[in-house]
Amino acid sequence: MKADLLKRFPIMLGLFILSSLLLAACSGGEGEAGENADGNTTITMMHYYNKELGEPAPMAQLEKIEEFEEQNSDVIIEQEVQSHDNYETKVKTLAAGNELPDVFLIKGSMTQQFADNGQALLLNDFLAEKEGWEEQFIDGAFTPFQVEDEIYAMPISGGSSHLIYYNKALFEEAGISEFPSTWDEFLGAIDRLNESGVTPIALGNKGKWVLNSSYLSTLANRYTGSEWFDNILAKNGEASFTDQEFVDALSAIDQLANNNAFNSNMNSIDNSEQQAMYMNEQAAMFIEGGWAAGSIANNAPEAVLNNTEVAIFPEIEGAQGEQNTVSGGGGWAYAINPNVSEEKLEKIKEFIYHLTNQEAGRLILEKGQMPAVVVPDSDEMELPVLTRKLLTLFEESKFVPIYDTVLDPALIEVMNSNMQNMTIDQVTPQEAAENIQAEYSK
Amino acid sequence: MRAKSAVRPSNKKIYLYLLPGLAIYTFVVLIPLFMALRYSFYKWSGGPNLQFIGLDNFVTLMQDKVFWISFSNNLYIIVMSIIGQIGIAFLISVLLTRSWVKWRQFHRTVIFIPNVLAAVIIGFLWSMVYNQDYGLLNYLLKTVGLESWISPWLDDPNIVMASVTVPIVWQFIGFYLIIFMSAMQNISEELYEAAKIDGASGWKQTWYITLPMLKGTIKVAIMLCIAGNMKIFDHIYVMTGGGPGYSSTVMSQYAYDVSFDRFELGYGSAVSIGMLILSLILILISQLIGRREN
Repeated sequence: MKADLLKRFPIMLGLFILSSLLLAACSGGEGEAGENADGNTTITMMHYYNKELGEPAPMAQLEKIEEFEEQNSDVIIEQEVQSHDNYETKVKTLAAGNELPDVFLIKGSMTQQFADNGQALLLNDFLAEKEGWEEQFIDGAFTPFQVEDEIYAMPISGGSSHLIYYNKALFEEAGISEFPSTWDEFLGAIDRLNESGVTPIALGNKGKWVLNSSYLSTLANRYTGSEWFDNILAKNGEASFTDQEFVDALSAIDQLANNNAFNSNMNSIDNSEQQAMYMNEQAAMFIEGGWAAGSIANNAPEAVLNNTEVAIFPEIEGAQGEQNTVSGGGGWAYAINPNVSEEKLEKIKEFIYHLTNQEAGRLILEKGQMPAVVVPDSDEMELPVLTRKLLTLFEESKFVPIYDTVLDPALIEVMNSNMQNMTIDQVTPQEAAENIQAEYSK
Repeated sequence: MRAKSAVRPSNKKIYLYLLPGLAIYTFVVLIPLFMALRYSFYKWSGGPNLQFIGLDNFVTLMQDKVFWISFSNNLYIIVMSIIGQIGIAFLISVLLTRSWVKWRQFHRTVIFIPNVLAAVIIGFLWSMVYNQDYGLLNYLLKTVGLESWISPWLDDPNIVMASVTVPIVWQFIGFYLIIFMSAMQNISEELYEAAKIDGASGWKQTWYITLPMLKGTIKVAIMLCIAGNMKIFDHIYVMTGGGPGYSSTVMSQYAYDVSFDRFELGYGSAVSIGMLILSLILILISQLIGRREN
């Protein structure tokens, strides 16, 4: 009897291993069924919305998700939340392993990738299903999410990726009564702020995207004009990153670093810490996108909030592009996994519509960010003071593309690292431009 | 003649008992390794589109400045770890075998504790230590009046490698300490007694008895040190993310950046394979040096 067991033991062990390996291999496909025994539909979703940060669009979207769940008791939204910096990595990793959730966020630079690999559902028909829906979106909202007129994702919020938030009181203490109107004055203001003992601009570039998204996209356009960038995107050989205008733009950022405009730990803190520096009145300015307005409005002490004004980079003398431009447009957008079942897709479409229609847009605006849809009667709405200031500012300026939402991810990585290297004097602007060009022409 | 004792199971059984471990190892190490090798010959961005490009990725890798910067950063960590971890662990274990040392067990436990913490936690802990405004390190410097020493520890490209190496060294001293102490316990007490009679003082005993007797152990420790530090990732990812610029990028961080920031998974696999080859070469060299000394 015992001998018998011993003989069988290895076979059983082998079976056990085999089955566990099979189970491990299968676990990726779990949950595809969609509908469970109770007739409920589970929609998996991944996003970076974080209540703690108090950013307007994410807050508004979280409310909308909750509302949808209340209205549709047969639908369960299973959310996976990542931090903003980690989200991008996670979604790319899941894409590589073909394990994307049903609904996920992508940004413009990923569109081509997801389209090529067939990992985002075509949404043209979906948009057409709702009468007049497509026209509700602001101009250019779809551009980053299109490949040859095919739309792959639904944008949520628009707005700018560059805004200078500054503390009026700290400016006055340093003897600056008005926000500089030219680049030279801007540099002068930085010197005076330094003399008065505050950090002129709080910068948290550990994530590497801040300098690119919130600084370079706007600044470079002032130097190069929009036609240059169109040529870069078209890869027609008429523009290169080593062109003097682009090098000048890099030099302008380098100049800021050399003039001690930033805190010395700029590369080891992140963007929420740069906001914290500003809120603690350690810094007179910080430069980030429209999304930061909400966190300032929610988290800044009264005194700082009341003194906060917004501006954009001043005019640059001698630069050839238009001087009232701001990088902006669509930020992130919802994409749908093409592998979902028919029935589930219907629910998902309702869900996405719920999150991106004009009602949702109104909520985003109320919270203090620009939605991707036009909100009727926004003039009569009661808006946070800071949001009103932003709206006025945007009326006078023009949106240009945000680099890291439209350029290839590989190019962005090289750009980001080279700019970080530039701020610590490892490369000159000229060398940085050459490195970027080398990646571009690969 | 081979004795067939009751204790020794048959060869077949031994292999069967090894099977589970081997199966798991094959599943989580060998198969991914061969997959990475395969992907390294493709231009691949994830998803179904694979484009065969032969050895192109490796040609690019050979000329990739950043890859070689990160390799030299790995070398820096290895050298510092051999000196720091193995050196300090050896000294402490010699001290702990001295009869006048009190609370031996306590010291050993305290030194070993960092070893059981996850690397990510160590990374977060030390980024707080290094924080410019609220960090423990700058606070200590301020209290002892060394304000001029205060620097942005993780921002200055000239010192960032030293800053990120300290936690790594600190974490693993305990590991080598345990190895050395158990090896030292195996050295016969008679040798020391004989040396004492011959009039050899404490440090002479260490130099002429302990060190030669531990040679084999030290060789293994150095090999573990090289293997461990060639794949170091978590600490640095958490503390600096390889920055500022590329100044604290190590090879695995670079493989990660290429794969998941640039989305060039084929080239990322090539970086990983390059890493593997370089690690094997280094370990081979260290073995050869060890053999020649014998």
